[in-house]
Amino acid sequence: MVVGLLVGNAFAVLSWMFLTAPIATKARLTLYYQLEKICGRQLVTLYNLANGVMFCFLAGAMITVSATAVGVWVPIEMPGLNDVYPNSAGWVVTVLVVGALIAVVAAYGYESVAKFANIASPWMVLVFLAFGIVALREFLDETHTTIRSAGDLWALASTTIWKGGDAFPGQTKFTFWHVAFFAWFCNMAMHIGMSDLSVFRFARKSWYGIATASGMYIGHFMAWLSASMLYALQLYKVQLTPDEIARLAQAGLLEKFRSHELLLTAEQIRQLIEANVLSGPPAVLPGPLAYNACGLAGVLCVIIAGWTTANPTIYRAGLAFQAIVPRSSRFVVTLLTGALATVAGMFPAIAMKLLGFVALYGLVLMPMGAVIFVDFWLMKKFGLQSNYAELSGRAFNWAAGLAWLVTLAICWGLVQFAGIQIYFVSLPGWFIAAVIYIGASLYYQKRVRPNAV
Amino acid sequence: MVLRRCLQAASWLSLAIVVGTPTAYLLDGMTLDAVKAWMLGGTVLWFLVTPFWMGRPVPTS
Repeated sequence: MVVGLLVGNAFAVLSWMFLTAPIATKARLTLYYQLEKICGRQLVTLYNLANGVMFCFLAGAMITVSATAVGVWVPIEMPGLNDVYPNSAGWVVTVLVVGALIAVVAAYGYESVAKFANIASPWMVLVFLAFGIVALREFLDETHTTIRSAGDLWALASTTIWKGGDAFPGQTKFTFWHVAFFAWFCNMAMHIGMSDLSVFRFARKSWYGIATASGMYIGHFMAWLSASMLYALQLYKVQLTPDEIARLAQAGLLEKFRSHELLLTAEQIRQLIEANVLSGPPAVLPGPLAYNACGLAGVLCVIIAGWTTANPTIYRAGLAFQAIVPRSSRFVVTLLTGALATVAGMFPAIAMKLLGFVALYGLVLMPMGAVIFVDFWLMKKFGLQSNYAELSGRAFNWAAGLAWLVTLAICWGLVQFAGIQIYFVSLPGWFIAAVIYIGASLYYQKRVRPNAV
Repeated sequence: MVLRRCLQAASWLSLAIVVGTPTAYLLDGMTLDAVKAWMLGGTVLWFLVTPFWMGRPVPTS
């Protein structure tokens, strides 16, 4: 896991440096303007719709995360790891309240939230570090281990914290390659998908893309390791209710459970589910996990992290939708977007299966990144024209549209019928999109001449 | 300028508390309950003082 994150994050940083930033610093255009020149107004509208919907679901997952923090104080039934639908009225009401608050703040503009997020971020980074430090101490106490060298620490990490094993029921087994590819592609929409053209157009040099390493190695390395330590600790110290212990005894598993095989393995969880002790693998609930480790400061960190992520995401989704209906009120569109995100947040499947969702999000937007890359660097080499929608005056560049839709169809087929997991399909998908765009452009640019309008 | 420096010092102190107390817990120098209380104190201090200097223009004189 540690090496997988190091490698995957390095690839992500390199993608920003060598794919996104060079185009951004040469063209100095936002993603949407760049796309409109290549794809035409109608295709960009379709892209905006897909982008807006994906942003809504992402914001919904963040609302779910913030809502779990409410469960620290209010006795509501929390969703489990394998839950798809809302599991209690209390959960629905909690998400509704949290989502409504976030949506209203987003509708009033996100400048004040952005300022607040800037102020909170140094503190947040250190609270995430604190999660890891506290979890490490707890592991030392629970396992009666003493660390005298880096070797001792590595032994604890590899035999107790990240010890591997079979996947939990209903979950995907993650290998080194899963971790590395997920770390690389979880922000795929931003680097390979070119969303960050809008940000890097302000950079003086393309190598400034290396600045993303700070975000990756603090957020997607240190914070992820800390979060995984908290969950591993929860599994190690799993606390059962008296009722669950009674059912465990009835099933003849109590002694095995008490002999400190408490670090739940997939096999143990399967046994506990069969014995009707657990209904599924222990849930990942950021609020309670953070509260147990760092108290109120930890819960505040979860709330602020979820809020400051959901807020601009709802705002961005609102902008994407507003671009489709330009005369609509931004306030109303953002509120409606927030409502959609809140409904999405009620379904715990999005947050509990966030890894799969983020992979899908990157996959959906990735082909347009390939189109931009090819259009910017390769079109002239094939005797083709760049920015063909602008040149031909067409509102829908079919070459780009085909590259997007056919790539998605092929990737879907690879996942459904060829057994390739969604975490890996985006890499071949990028090359497929590039080839289709070039091939389709060779045909399209012969048929649709620049002077056709 | 002096006030700004004082506020910055208080912010740095709050961050030191937020990361220092868990480290003390790791080294067996503090209980977890004390860590939680200190971290909350550090958090309150950070959000009380930091908005008064972070992101604001530095006074020229």
